[in-house]
Amino acid sequence: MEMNQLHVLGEYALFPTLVMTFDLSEHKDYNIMLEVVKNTETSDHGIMANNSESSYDEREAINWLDHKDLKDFKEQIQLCVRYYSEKYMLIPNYIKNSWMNRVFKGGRVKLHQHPGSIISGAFYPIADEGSCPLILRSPVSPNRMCEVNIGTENLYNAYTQEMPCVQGQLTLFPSWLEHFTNENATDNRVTISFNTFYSDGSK
Amino acid sequence: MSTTDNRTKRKVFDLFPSPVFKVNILEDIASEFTQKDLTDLAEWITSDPVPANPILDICEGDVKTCYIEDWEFASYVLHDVPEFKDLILTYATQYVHMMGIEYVIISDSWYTKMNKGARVHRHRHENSVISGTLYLNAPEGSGIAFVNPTIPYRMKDKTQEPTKYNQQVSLVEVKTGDLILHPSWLEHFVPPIDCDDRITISFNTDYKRIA
Repeated sequence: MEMNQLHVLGEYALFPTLVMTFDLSEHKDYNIMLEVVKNTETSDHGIMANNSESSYDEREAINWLDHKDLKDFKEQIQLCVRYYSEKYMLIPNYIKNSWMNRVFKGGRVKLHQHPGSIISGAFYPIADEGSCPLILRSPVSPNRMCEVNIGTENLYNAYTQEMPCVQGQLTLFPSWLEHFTNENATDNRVTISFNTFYSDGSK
Repeated sequence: MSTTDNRTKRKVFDLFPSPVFKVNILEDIASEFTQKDLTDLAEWITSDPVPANPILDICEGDVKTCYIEDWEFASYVLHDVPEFKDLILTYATQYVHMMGIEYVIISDSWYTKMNKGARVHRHRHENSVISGTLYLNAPEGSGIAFVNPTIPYRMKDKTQEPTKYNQQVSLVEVKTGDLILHPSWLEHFVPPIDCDDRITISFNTDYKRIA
């Protein structure tokens, strides 16, 4: 029997990992936000490698999005979190801590996840064209020791998935999903990152 | 992989899914097998005079199987019915092609007969690439349940109702003639069944160069 004689098999793509992107490039407060970006102090951080800095501080909660001039912008992002939660059917959860990362040429972000959080997000207020993508690591790849990939990567055999770094775009993903970047090829790649928590404050 | 909602400028990506495939060999135009062929095969393999392995750790209740839990020996029931083996291998080849992994051959294969109240506990098939089950007789209500492989990550989830993103288990309903293919690493189980004579042939696969 030839391959092309077969009917297409019924396909069940079970247990996908939900990732969503939103275009916030036309938000009315975008320029105000850029001013806040410009005035944000950043420094070395363990997760950031080489030529990169962060405003994240483990010793105290950093709430970058709570800036008094970014109230509407934070509300817009919270709405995106709500869309994600409704699709996933998570109970309501809210942005808690948020911080800013700067990755310059040659900088990168090491592999990590966000323990204690439910949904995490990366928004790019500034991203030169060609900035390094966010790379998501497949949660099922450790199981695939008996599988040998051939040909081009596809939805089923991918070990990673690159999410393009586009200025004005927000990417939402589950906080448990491991992610990282390769070395950045541009001079300006700024990320606003955040975590969410349930309304009852449980961790 | 992705869908776009232009109104809200949002895109949805369903990443890293676990691929499970189902085809019914009695309905597929590419197959010439009939219901009688499956019934005859079911009767023939389960009447095997060799005593079936009555107890495996993963089985509970009235289960008869010729599966051999041993590194050196195995069952090869499909070797005795090459016409079925060839058809299954054709589907398996299409499946691994779509998955983008190297082509496989069928290694061990075994039958399982379950009666009312029997169940098969959660397990995976180690040292195999893809696995599958052909349902020679699947009474109404039969199914196989797959376990979400991302459960260990999702300690923080508080969900309202099951969706494809948050469900812990997905039950795939099956009927006589169905062939289910899945990655061997994907944990699965058979919930307690409510009928007699659920008869299946399951199999594992390996790569040509090392099998």
